[in-house]
Amino acid sequence: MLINNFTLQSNGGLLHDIKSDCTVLEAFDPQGLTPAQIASKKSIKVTALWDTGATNTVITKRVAQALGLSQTGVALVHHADGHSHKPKYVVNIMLPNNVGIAYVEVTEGDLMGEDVLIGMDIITRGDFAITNVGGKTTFSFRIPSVETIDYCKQGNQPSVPQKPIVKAKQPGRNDPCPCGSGKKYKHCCGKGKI
Amino acid sequence: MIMADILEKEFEYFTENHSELYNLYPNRYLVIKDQKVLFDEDSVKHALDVSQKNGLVPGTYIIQKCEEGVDSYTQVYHSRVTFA
Repeated sequence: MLINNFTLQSNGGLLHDIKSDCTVLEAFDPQGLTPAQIASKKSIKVTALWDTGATNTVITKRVAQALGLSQTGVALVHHADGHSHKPKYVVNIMLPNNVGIAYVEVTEGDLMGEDVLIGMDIITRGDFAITNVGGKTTFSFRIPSVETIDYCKQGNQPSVPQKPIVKAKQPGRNDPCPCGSGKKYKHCCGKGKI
Repeated sequence: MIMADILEKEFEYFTENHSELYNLYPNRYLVIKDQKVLFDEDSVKHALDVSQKNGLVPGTYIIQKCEEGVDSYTQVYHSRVTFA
């Protein structure tokens, strides 16, 4: 199994956020292509912020326009200001050390300073670790996931048993409202949410 | 009608008929145009490929993964990002 990985380390001190270089490319299948063919694809090199509080990966309008992307879908996004519908695109993402992911669905959004937000859709494709030994932050990422990191196990301590978090099944827009009113969910408790 | 509005209509068709579509195409990537499902594929790559092979113009159709519940087309951002 081929494992792709990279490690970023602070020059000294703790990092307040995790950022890495990132190249966003038009979507294509890299298999069988030469480096020259890959280099000829439309691409833009930007800074990415890694965010475990984001379910999905976001690009700015600037990136979408620079690559001439065509919209491929719509996402319903819930955010600090409420919720809205935003365009989706399909791209390839290249991370440091040539860690690449093809055909990633990304959503267009406004970001503060960066052009890409790496969300849990990418983070959960591999192993993601942040350590701060000696007051120096080290961030490491690899694809695919190969090993569970368990600090309790490493220290021969029992881990705290915890029931898995089970998300309640969400009714569909046109399903009967679970409150029993007899109305459709979208006209009752789901009004304004979906 | 501008293209973004047309794609919004396609998305509305997807959300309005989500339960029925899920019964027909569970966990498939649907290519939707003119409020109809044209193709259902096992990956976004295959959905893009089949759309291109059949001459669909990029930006005139949407690809939506059809999973159970509203989570399949809902995203949550807890920090830093706004969608004005």
